[in-house]
Amino acid sequence: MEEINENGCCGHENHHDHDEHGCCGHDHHHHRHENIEITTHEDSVTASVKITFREDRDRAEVMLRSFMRAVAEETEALGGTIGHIKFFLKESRGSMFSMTDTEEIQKKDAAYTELRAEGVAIVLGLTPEQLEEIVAVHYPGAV
Amino acid sequence: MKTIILGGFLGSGKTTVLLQLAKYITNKPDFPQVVILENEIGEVGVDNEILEGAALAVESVFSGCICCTGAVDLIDAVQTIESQYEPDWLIVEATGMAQPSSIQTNLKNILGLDSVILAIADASRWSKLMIASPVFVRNQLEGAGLVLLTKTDKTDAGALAKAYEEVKQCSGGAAVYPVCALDPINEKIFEELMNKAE
Repeated sequence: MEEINENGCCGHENHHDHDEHGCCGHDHHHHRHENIEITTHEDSVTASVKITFREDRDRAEVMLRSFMRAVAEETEALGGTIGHIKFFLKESRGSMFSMTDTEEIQKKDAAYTELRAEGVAIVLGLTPEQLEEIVAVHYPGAV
Repeated sequence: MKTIILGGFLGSGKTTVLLQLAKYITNKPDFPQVVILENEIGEVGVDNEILEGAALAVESVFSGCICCTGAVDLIDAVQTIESQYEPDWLIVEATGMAQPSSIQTNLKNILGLDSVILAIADASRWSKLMIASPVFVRNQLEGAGLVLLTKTDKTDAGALAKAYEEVKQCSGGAAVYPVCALDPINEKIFEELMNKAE
């Protein structure tokens, strides 16, 4: 995650063109949801979203689809244009391995399988605040 | 290192085409090495997960568009790929908000690297996007070596014919091929593209 300096600019000064304010070409916006990051580029607004589900896969998929559809529908309802809404859903089940002597290695499996969705909603014609509000309102309730 | 720049609007099917193109190249008799440079506009990657899942070599640049604000990141990434992999082919997948011709110009002017642009235009949303952002959408076809007009399966015949004519007018004489990228793309199209990149 990029750091934001006191001017609201990202720390990539050496890597980007800068405008008259010394800012890079994409802007970050402060937000209240740690799993939602809003940035802008040209005419587009992007919400980068991370969601952790502790549901079974079918239920998680239903929740993810419902979230994506809600963001799409509300974008259009507000007069925006859907650019691309896409997520990657990953499944993982952790195990811990531990030992206290030279012999036995104990294994403990996590009690649940974690499903993690990461993705973006890229839209045109909305303000960053509008997109952030849409995503936050419809963000799946899990975790 | 022969270079293809894959450009086109958000959600036009670039990654779907890329999976087929990369597979086609890597399956050539001399097994050329292909590296993909993936640029995504958001803070998290999605397409790189799909490409890596297909056992392709992928380098990613997130959070900035390599045609403009992230141009230095583009140059850094291409230099790193060239020195670390020495690939036969580099495929640069631009963000859906990029102007591919700007990437081409930067590669040529800064690295002296020639490239060919494979532009993707979404037939099913062409009319809508030409209303929402006509100049931008037209500019994305600038300098194209070849154009794929995708999502023919989701476009009725009248809209497809209209999109084809308009895309043809914007493409500066490049060949335009209507395709459904969910189906196998005619290998002659990829061969034509590779010949342009030689």
